[in-house]
Amino acid sequence: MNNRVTREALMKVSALAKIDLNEHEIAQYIDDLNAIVDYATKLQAVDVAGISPMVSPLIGQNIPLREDIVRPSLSQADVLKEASQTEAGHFRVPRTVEG
Amino acid sequence: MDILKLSLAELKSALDSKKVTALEVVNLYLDRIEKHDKDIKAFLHVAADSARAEAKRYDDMRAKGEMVPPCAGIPIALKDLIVTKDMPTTCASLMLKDYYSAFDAKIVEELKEAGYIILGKLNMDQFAMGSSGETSYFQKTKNPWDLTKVPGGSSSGSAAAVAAHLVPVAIGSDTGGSIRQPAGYCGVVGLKPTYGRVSRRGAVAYSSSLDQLGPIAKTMEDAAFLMDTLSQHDELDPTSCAQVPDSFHKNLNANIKGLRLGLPKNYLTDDVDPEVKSAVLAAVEVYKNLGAEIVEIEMPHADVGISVYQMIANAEVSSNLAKFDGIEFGYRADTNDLNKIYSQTRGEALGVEVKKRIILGTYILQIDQYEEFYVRAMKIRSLIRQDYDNAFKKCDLIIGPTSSTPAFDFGGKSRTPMEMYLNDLYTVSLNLNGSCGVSIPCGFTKVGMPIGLQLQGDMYAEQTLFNAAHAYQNATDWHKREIL
Repeated sequence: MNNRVTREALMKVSALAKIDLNEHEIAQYIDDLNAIVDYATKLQAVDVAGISPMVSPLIGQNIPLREDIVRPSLSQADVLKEASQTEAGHFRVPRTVEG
Repeated sequence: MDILKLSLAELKSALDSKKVTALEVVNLYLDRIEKHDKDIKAFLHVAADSARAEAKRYDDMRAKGEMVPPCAGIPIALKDLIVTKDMPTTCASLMLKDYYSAFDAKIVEELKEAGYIILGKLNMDQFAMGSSGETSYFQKTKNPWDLTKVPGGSSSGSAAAVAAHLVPVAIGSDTGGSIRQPAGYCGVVGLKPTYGRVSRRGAVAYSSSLDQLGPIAKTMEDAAFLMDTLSQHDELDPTSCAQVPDSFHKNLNANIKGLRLGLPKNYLTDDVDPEVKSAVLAAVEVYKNLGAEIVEIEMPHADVGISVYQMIANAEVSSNLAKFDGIEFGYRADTNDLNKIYSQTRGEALGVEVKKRIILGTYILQIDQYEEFYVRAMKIRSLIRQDYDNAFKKCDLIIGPTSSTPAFDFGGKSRTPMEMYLNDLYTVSLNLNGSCGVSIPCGFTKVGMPIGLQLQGDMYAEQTLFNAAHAYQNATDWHKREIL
């Protein structure tokens, strides 16, 4: 195993993904991610010259988009009902801009 | 009349002819849930009151001679990633504990409109990430055939509930094998329909280019019966298939003379459990006797399917699960710093496997890894599709095992993640291709654990697939074996 995923690399990525990790998880993820990435080096042996990426099983099929028309949507109350903090019809979050 | 042994079509006609009431049927299953689910732990939520009320309503309508929906009174249960207005939807995660959706998923609308009665929500691997059911935040579902074994995953509760007759049929979801593998482990039928066949509106997304919903049932006939309700076009799901089939169930035909079954060369490697291997080869013989022709095919990229799947699925996970940030719904960490709300909420409320996959996906999407892993994986996905296209020039369906082993012990593979992921070797490629496949019981090990046979079909080739599975079940009785 080449230990390509270092502690620093993991911390950078978990910050990008906005996920706090504890020490136990950090140790486990370094091992697991290296095992997965190591295994994925198999992919390098496949000749992909001239091959296009397949982004969806429906690639090449003619899927017409529906007409862009306004239709009834969820009410403000429905949308807010599952938020842990709301105020005056809004999602409440801590102050982010100093004024 | 043993209600538990009726097919869905027979149950419908028993209800229509008033040989049994919907309330009797619903009570029978609710009683079984109460009696057995404390051991099996398949259900996360049982909607006993609403189920009884619905049943009574249909019974009253029938008594008055009023028109009822076609499947009025047939019980069903849903994997807990299908959103429901009147029941919680947790995805088996602390993140969504006690979450109630503001709307019903499209398939919930379809099922209700058809008269199905939803008994409750079923356990699963957290956010459908896992192959054993063990990543659920709430509980570990047991395999009804042996409570010390895993039921498979991620549709652990769906497969276990049907196997234990806690519900006659259930809905699961399949991103890399999550319907077929637990169905195989629990000795029931698990169908992954073609991508786009069943609407996914209101199914909490794992990997959007791979996810598909489908039935877990006692028989292929029942799965086909339910698919007649689920195969509707949904204009609010842009992947939904516009061609709506006539009726899979009415068109079931067990005469498969001349059907070409492809057996991939080098497919049954030494890694396959010998009992699984011999059961699959015995099934091939059954098919020969039914008049099928066995052709040798090649799937040259089968061995890289797992890695291709991991790259694509996890890249999509990192994007799809970004919405769980503590603001609009679900768990919010106790802090007053906006950035900490995101990172602490996700750190505390997402499971170990879920966070790992988000982080892996984020890792491979970084600018210096993107081409090497993600784009390359999507290119190999094209090659895997070519493999399937070439195979389906030579054969109508591909035959093989669902998994390389029968159900394993709890904790058995959790500590070596690659071993757990490799468990999906035989199922992931079908999701990458996007076509349909099914797992049906084809035998039991010496210690009595079920073995799954997988049939894989082309895009929209459900009828061919269903006919072949149905023919096999007409000729064998593995699906009739009872749990002692």
